[in-house]
Amino acid sequence: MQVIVVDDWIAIGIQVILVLSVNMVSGYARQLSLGQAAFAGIGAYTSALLVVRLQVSFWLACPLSILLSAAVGAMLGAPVLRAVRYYVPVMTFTLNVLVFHLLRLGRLLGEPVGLGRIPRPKLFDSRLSPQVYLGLVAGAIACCLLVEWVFRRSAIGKSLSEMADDREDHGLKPRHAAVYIALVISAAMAGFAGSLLAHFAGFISPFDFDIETSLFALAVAAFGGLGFLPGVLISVVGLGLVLEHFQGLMPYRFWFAGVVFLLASMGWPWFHQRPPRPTPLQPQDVEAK
Amino acid sequence: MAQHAIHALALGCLYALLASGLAFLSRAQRSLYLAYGGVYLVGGYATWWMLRSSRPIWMALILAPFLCAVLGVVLAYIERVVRAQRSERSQLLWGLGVLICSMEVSRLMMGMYHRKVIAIDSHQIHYLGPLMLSDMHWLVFGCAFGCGVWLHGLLTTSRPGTTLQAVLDKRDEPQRWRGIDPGLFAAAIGASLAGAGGGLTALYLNEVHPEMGLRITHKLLCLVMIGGLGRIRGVVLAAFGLAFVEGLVAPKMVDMPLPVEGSLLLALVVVSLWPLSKPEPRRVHDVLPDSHREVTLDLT
Repeated sequence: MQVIVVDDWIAIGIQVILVLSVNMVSGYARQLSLGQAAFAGIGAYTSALLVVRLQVSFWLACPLSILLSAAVGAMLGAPVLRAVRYYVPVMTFTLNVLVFHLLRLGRLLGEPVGLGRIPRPKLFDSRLSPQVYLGLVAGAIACCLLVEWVFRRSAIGKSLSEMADDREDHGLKPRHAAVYIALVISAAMAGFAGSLLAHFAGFISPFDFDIETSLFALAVAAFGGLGFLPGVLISVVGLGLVLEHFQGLMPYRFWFAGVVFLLASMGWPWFHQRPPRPTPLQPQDVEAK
Repeated sequence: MAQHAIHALALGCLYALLASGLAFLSRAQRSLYLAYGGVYLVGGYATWWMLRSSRPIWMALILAPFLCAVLGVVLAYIERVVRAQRSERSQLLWGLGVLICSMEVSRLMMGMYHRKVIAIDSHQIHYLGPLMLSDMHWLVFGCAFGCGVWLHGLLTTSRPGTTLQAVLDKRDEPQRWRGIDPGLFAAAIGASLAGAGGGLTALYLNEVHPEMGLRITHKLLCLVMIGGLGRIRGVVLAAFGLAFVEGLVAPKMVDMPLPVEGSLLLALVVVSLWPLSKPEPRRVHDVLPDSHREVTLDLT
C-alpha cells in the first residue's frame, strides 16, 4: 500500500517537471508549446536505449538525454531568433506528431510497441528503492525550480516579464533571444521528465508521448494560470491526485483540456491578471503638468 | 507512377483548398485560426450524415459548406463577445479549445469508430489511357478548382471582395460595409472552404472519425507558415509540394525512416530561417465609389 502511494507521488512529481517545462515556454515566454511531450519522448527513449542496449549507467544516460532534448530544442528553435510569428506552436505540434510516428512505425528503433525492461537506477550497486527514487524526483523538481528562478531573475529573463502584448510588439522581435533560451531550457526540462519516467515505469510506449499528453500538460498549466508558478504547482499536484484516485475520470481529461483552453482564452484564472503597464509620460504631458 | 501522380494531384487539391481557407481566415482574424480543424470536422460529419440519409452528393456538398459558414460566423461572434482576441496567446487558446471540444462532441455523439462514407453513385470508374479515375477524383478536381477560381475572383475582381480586403487592411479602423461586418463575412468564407474541404476529404478518403480535425491541423498550420501567413498563392504552392511528397515520393521511399511530417518540419525550419521571398512592400486596397486600385505603401 505504502509503495503504491509512493509510486503515485513519483508519477505526480514527474508530471510536475513536465508542466513546469510547459510553463516556462508557454507562461513566461508567452509562446504556446503544443508538443512538449515530444521532448519528453526524446529524453525517455534516449535514456532507455542507452541503459538497455548500451548498458550505460543511468547517471550518465540521464544527463545525455537532457542534452539531446535541449539540442533538438535549440536546433529546431533557431528560427525563433528571427522572430517568426507562431513558429513555436506550429513547430512543437509538428515535432510531436513526427516523434510519435517515428516511434510508432518502429523504423528507427525497431520497437513499435514500446521499450521494456528498463531498469531502475543503481546507486552503490543496489537499485534505488521507491522512496529514494521519490527523493530523486523531488531533487529534480528542486533543480527545475532553481533553474526557473535563476532564469527569471536574470537580465534576459526579466525582459520576458516586461513584454506586454505580443501583438503590439510584432511577435517576438524585441525579446526573441530570451524566448529562445526559455525554449531550450524547457526542452531540457521535458527531456529530464522523460528520462525519469522511463526508469520509473520500466516500460515506455509511443502513446506516452503523443499529442494528447502534450495538450493535457498545457491544459494543466493553463488551469493554474500560465506564468503563475504557485497556481501551476497547485493545479498539477491537485489534478494529479484527483486522477490517481479517480481513474474513471481519465477518459474525460480531454474534455477538461478543451474547457480549460476556452476559459484561459477569456483570462482564466481571473485572480491572476497582469496589471496594465503604466504608459510613459509624453513630453506634452510633462509640459502640461 | 501515373496513378500515384493522380492521387498526389487530388491530395494537392484538397490541401490547397483547405490551406487557402485557413490562410484567408488567419488573415482576417490576424492570428492562426486553430479552430479550423474543428470546422473541417463538422464538414466531414455533415457529409457523412447526408449520404447516410441517402441524399445525393451535390446536396451534401452544398449543405456542409453552408453549415460550416454559419458555424464560423457564430464562433467568430462568440470569440469577439468573450474578448478572446486580447492577445495572440489567448486567440490560439480559444482556437485550441474549440478544436478539442468539437472533437470530444463528435466522439460523444458518433463514438470512437472510423465511419465509412460510401457514396453509392460515385463508383463509376473512368479509364483515361493508362490512368484509372473514379468519379471522386473528378469531383475533387472540379470542386477544388471551382472553389479556387471563385475565391480568387471574389477577392481580386468583385466589388464585395475588394472592398472586404480594403476593410481588412485598415487594421485600426474596424468598419462595416453596407451593414455587413467584414470580420464575420471573412469568417463565413473561410469556414465554408473548411466545410467543402471536410466534405470532399470524407468522400475521397472514404471515412470520417473524431480525430480527423486534429490530424490534419498540423499539416495545414505548416502549409500556412511555409507559404506565408495570409498569402494564398504561397500556401497553394506549398500544398501541392506537400501532396507531391506524400503522394509520389513517400510511396517510393517506404524503407526510409522519415515520415512525411519530417519533410514538413524540415521545410518549416528552412523556410523560417531563410524565407523564400523577400518581405513584400505593404499593399493596401484603396476602394473609391467608382474604382479600385492596389496601393503600395513606401515604408522606408
